[in-house]
Amino acid sequence: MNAVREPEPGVELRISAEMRRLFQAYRAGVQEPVADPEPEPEPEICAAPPPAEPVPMPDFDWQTLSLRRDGARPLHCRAVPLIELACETPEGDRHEFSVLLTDRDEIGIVCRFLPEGLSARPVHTAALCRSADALQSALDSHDPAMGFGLCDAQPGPMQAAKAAQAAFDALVASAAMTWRPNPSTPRIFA
Amino acid sequence: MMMQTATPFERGGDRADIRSTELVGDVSDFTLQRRGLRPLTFSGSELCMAMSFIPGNPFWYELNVYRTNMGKFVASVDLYYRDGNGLERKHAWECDSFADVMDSLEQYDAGNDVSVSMLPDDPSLSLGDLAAHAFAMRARVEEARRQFGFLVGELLHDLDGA
Repeated sequence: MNAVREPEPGVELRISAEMRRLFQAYRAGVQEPVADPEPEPEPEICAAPPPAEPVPMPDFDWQTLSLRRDGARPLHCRAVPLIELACETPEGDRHEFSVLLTDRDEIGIVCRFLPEGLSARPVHTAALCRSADALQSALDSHDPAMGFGLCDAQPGPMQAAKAAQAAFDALVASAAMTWRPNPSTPRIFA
Repeated sequence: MMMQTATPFERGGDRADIRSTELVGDVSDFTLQRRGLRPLTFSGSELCMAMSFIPGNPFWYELNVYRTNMGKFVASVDLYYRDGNGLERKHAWECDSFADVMDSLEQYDAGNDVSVSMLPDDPSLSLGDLAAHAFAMRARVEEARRQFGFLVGELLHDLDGA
C-alpha cells in the first residue's frame, strides 16, 4: 500500500462565513454546560421559609471570559481571577493555571499546556464547578503529557511528557502553597 | 450580537502554526465514502474543514461540515495513516440541525477508530505479549481521542472568537 502524503505540519482551518454565522446563532441560543450542576431542589413538605435577602455581588472587576476546551465548545462566563500562575520550562513550553470566581458562584478552572514549536500539541482544560469534588475532577483531567502523542515511540517524547506533567503538578502545588484568600473574597464552597 | 471575550491569559492559544483561512463553499455534488455503509451523496456546500498534523505522528484527522440543499447538515471525519499500512477510516453522517452537528462532533468517540491488531486467543502469544499489545492499544485509543478532541477544540475556539 502506498504511503499517504503527509500534510503541512500544524493546524489548518478553512471556515466559511456561513459557518461562522451559524455558530454565532447556535452559541446565542445554547445553555452553557456546568461540570457539576446544582442538584434538583428537594420537594417541599412544609411551608417554605421566606426568601432570603439577595446577597449583593461584590464589586469585583468582572471580565467576560471565553474558556477554551479540547473536544468541546468554549465555556463563557463573567468572572474574576482568583489565581493566575504560569511557568515556562527551559525548553520553552509554557504551563498556565487559573482559578476564577464567576458571577454565578461557580469556580472556574483553566489549565493550559502551550508547547514550544511542533514537538507537541497544546492541551486546554476548562470547567465551571459548583463543588470541591468537581473542581478536583477537573484538575485531575488536565494531562499535559497527552499533548505529546505517539511520536514514533522514541524515548524523547516520553521523557518530555513526564517532565510536562511534573511541571504542571509543581505549578498547582505552588498555587496551593502561596495563595492566601483576600478577606473580601467570598468563601468558596462554604 | 457579538460577545467581546477575553481569556485569563491573553497569550494563550496564539500559535504561529495555525493556518486559518476563509472557505468559499460553492454548491456542488458530494459523494462521501463511508466504511460499511453506502456512500453518502448530496448536493450542498462545504462549510468548514479542519485538519491537524504533527510530524512524527502515525496518523491524523480531518473533519468537514457541509450544508445540503435540503436544509440538513452533514459531518464527516476521516482518519489517515502516515505509512498507509492502516486503512483510512471514513465516517459521514447526516444531522437535522446545526446543534446536532456540534453535539455529534463533541460526542464522537475517536477510540472506536483504532483497529484491533492482534487476536487475544492466539495460543502463540505469551502473557507478556498480550500485556504489551493491550498497553499499545490503549495508548493508540487515548492518542486518537486526544488528537480528535484537540482538533474539535481548535475549530470551536476559532469559531467562538470570530
